Amino acid sequence: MERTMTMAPKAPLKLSLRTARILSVAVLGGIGIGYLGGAIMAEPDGSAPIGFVVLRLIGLFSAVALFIEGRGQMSQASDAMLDERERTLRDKAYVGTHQIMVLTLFAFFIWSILAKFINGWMPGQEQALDLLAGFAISSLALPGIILAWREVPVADAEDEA
Amino acid sequence: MTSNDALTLHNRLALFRAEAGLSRKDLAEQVGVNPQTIGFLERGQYGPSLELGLKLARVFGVPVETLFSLEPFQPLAASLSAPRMMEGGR
Repeated sequence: MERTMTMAPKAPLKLSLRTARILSVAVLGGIGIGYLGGAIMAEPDGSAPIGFVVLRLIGLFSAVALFIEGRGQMSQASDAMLDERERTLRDKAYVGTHQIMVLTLFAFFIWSILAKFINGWMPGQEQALDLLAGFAISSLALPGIILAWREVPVADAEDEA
Repeated sequence: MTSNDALTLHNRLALFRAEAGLSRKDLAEQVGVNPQTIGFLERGQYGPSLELGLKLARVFGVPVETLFSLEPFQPLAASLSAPRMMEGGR
């Protein structure tokens, strides 16, 4: 008989599916609006208005919570720690993350071309760094977010036992 | 079999597991997966790899096609009544 039980990653934080999904909205909303809005509506000295800084902090702390939570841990787990179904889910989450990141970059490149013709907004050096930070934090949190939204709620009591 | 969503793969895993008196945890330990994965397999929400399918079949001592099928399995009652009907028809 096979006795090679996989070792599920032990997460320091376990959240319900609903809480994880709420946090994921906080991450995307906080990071997206906080960094993009803060960059677009930056003060003359280059700093972001306080409201956007608060949103960034909400997004950042939510991202950290998701990162150390079970789904975030699963997205970082090695092959040996997951079974084949979990490996498939993790791999799909990374493919999804890659696609979203590429689309976001592509959209920004398109905007950078269009902005020259329509005299649209383009980030200065400080805003560009802020946007890059938001992009990096989102890319770290996205695999866990995708796992949270793709997770099928447990349908029977035996699974919960 | 694929490791993707098991839209066309039918199985009798729950039936065989109940018959063998195994919990999901017991079966999971024997084939090297997490117990939740057994639940996903039983509900038809996940199609196992060929390796996992063969391991599961080995646990129950049956051919893999007895556990998994691309066609829906006949209900147990129909399977049991079919020979009787044939005997009654003789």
